[in-house]
Amino acid sequence: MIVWRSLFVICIVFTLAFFFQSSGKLVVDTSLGDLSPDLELDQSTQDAMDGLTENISRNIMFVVGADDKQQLGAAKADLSKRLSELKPLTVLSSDALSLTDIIDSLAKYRFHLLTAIAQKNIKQESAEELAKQAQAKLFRLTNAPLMSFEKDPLGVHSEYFSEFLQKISADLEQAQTHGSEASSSDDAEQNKKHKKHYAVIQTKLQKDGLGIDGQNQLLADINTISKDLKEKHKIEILRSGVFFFAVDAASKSKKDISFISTISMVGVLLVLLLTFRSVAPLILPFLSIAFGVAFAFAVSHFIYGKIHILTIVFGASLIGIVIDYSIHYFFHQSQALSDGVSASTERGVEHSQSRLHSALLLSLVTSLLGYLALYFSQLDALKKVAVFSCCGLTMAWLSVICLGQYSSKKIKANSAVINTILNVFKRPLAVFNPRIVVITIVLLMMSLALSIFAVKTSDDPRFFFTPDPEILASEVAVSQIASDYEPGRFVVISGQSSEELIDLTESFYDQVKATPQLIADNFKSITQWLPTPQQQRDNYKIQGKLYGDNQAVDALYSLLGAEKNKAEAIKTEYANSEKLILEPQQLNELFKEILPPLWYTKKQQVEQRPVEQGHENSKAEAGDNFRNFILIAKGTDFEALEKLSNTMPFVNYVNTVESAKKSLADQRVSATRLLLVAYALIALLILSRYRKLSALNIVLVPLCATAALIVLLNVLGVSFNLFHVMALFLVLGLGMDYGIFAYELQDGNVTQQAIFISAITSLLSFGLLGLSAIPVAQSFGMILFIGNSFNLIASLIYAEFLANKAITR
Amino acid sequence: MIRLFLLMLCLIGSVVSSVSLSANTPENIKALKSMMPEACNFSGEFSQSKQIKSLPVPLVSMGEFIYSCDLGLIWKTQKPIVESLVFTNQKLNFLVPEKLSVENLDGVQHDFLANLLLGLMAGNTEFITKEFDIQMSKNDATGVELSLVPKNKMVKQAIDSVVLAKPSTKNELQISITDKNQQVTKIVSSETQQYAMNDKLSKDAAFSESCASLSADGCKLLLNPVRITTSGQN
Repeated sequence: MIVWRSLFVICIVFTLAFFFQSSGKLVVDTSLGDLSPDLELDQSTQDAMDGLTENISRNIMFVVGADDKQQLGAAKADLSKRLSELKPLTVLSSDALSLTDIIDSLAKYRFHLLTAIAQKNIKQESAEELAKQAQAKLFRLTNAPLMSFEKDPLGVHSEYFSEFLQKISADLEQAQTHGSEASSSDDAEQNKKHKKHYAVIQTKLQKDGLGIDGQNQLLADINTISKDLKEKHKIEILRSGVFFFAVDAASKSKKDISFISTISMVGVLLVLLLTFRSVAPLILPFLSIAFGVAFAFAVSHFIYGKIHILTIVFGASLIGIVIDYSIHYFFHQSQALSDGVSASTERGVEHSQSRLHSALLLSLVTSLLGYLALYFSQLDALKKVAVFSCCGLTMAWLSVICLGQYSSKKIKANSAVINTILNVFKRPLAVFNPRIVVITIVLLMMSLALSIFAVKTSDDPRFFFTPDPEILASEVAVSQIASDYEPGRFVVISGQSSEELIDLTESFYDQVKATPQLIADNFKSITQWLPTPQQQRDNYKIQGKLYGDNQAVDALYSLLGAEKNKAEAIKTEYANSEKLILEPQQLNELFKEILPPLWYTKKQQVEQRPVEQGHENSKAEAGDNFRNFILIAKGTDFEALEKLSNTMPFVNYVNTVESAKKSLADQRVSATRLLLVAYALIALLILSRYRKLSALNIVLVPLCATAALIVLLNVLGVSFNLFHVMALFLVLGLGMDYGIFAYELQDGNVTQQAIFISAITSLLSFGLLGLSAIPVAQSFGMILFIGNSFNLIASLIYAEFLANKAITR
Repeated sequence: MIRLFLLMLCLIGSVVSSVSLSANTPENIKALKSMMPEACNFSGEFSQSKQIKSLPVPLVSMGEFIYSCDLGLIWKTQKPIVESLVFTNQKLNFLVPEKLSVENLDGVQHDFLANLLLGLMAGNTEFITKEFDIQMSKNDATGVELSLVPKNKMVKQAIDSVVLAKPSTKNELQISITDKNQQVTKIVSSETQQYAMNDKLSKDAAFSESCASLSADGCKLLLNPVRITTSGQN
């Protein structure tokens, strides 16, 4: 008892310290990423994908549609301006690129970069001729070089960067003009007249995320701006981005939390009042709920730095489970009073308390086992629910154990009322005499065995999200208009060094070109923006004719009548730049706010490679830590792509939906196996505790409930998913609770009353969870409601059986 | 207090009148129009001076041009180098060097400046008001000056501004182009001959003769602009 009290005090102190330190500022996470399973990829690819998805999840795209191009231009400018005034958003466009910054960053690599025309020209012409051509450029009216004369006297680098920047702008700029058919007309002429023009505005959400209030404010601002501009310009504004789904999910979650917690609390309150007909018994249960929830919040927030909204939704349903400990405590106390166990009989009190604590402890352990199983799923959301729930249950249990002794000894359950209700409920169960029970169990097990092979499963990850139809329609429309690339599919090339990865990417493109069903232009890689390292080395050698001694640059200065030594600076810079190869990593860094991180390098590799000092490219680095993501255009033959990728070991074709499906299916299968292991472990625990084979009958309570549940769902045609299987762990835990109390206490009617009240409060919570708008919570709630109903029936029958056995004895 | 306020108003007023009536006001557009030639087909001469920071002397060139509002412009530099720039109304631009083969002239800056020149020659205020913010100022030497600042951010990062001036005492247009490196190219062009308005300009003897004598290859491209295909281009 000292141990429990010490633990209780420590937990209280921790909770108080946490809330004091955080000043009540809790961060609520609404990220949908926690519901995404890991895709069974190697660690580096998974890390790379995490970075990519984090970046993409911050994209918000707006598509403006207008009948008139001029109207479109004005509306786009207006919308860009209004959106740029919103602090959490950054408006991206190729116009916003600072070309000066880009050129300044890339200038040091210019001796390795040449246009195709410049390469050919330099090879063909003499140094003197090249100097004359450069001189002519200087006189040319329309020549406006991007670099100063000192840095680019011959004009070749300005030409390269001009071509480079145009290519990037063309790739980044997604403004497209589409002709869309008039909605109701089949007439081709009519269609021509009703062409609609579209323009795209890309924005990015700030990196640190917004709280729920911040998200709601941003959404409200965006809605206001859209409404104003639609009225002003008579345009259509579509939008897309994970942000809108997250806000929608958060809003639904908030409603769920309010609904579940309020109704649960009211329901529990009514049940307790009905049962005990007094306000005094409310103190311990509500204290246990308060301490349990507060401690769970504190631990979850402490570990994860924030609390996921789904955790809070599940947490709200904990109310109905946590109350069980108080209910059992009061019923046991009430029974002890009836049996005449007096406070003065110390031994009697001790014995009574010992039995109760033993039962409560075993009950807690089995519930914890059920929730802990959630931790072994690969979904972050479920792991967080496991941590929250285990902490909440444990603290609530400690509260009852430590504070129960201070509750009024005169609390008595109103047996008459409960008994009446319970008898009505038990009437149909009267048919279950021991013989019928055995036959029922056998039939159930046989049905389960048959059902197992006919069970329907569903592992589609799209099940997790039921987005608002309007948001989804807008997303689909934007995707059709503005996005050329498949959102959930890409190719990942793996390599051991940057140069190897570039070579492997080239090999991939060669194979694509050799495959008739595939089009190379459909694959977009960052490597297309720069020459390969070998080409860069060749360019450097070619430019020897420009910057070597007595070569083109010297000839040019001579032609212009300038002192030859003025060319020394650039010649020296050229000579010192031999090892400076431009790698995709540098481009990724330069365009990091506009482009997603398509080129992945493990950070420690980058720090160890001081490129500025002219180190060789990293062939010596160990480990398979370089990844190149290649985007795939819509309309690609994915079957052909998959076949091709299977022939190339360094190429991984990722279809996120299919991968997620497989991951969820694998998790469902392993969770099912884990459930069987859990049953075995619990059976061993019961055997070791009671050392009687007959005690194993306790395990039959949740086992029969689970069997009945599976058979019923099969008959109803419900497809099993991972969350259904996870919920079965909780059915096991709760069923064990009731079974243990029935076995430990064997007080006949009193035990049944306690189980009944306990189950009713749990069913209330799970039933409410089953009404949630969130599919995950709904799955859990539905399974738990039905499963726990069967638990109740099975435990009442078991309690009755034990009571009759005791009478017979 | 009132005197101070009035004084401030006067100061502000005087500053405004000497600096600009900003943006594309009707007055600016009218001033722009007044700088533009009235004839449709004409030829002329130009001189150009470009000051590059690290070079001791400016780069001076001179040449001639011929313009047709239906076809486009040939801009031929004759000293110290010989080459022609051909800007057609079909938005195809060419470089015709003296000895080497003709090239397409591609690139945002080339397109932009070509359109600017064509716009100026054609009296097309629409293009200029669409692409530039115009500020007007007065200068004792040149009279009214129009400063054109590109609106397009991409162009702005190559070309800082273009200043136009047409002194009342001279029949010439002065153009100063300042690039992002603050290097200034000054062009002075003057009209020397006008040609009759003719539906079939190619058959107008005077125009054809002048055009061909200025640049035979350039003239062919002006009359029949076709993108050049080389081994290095599509």
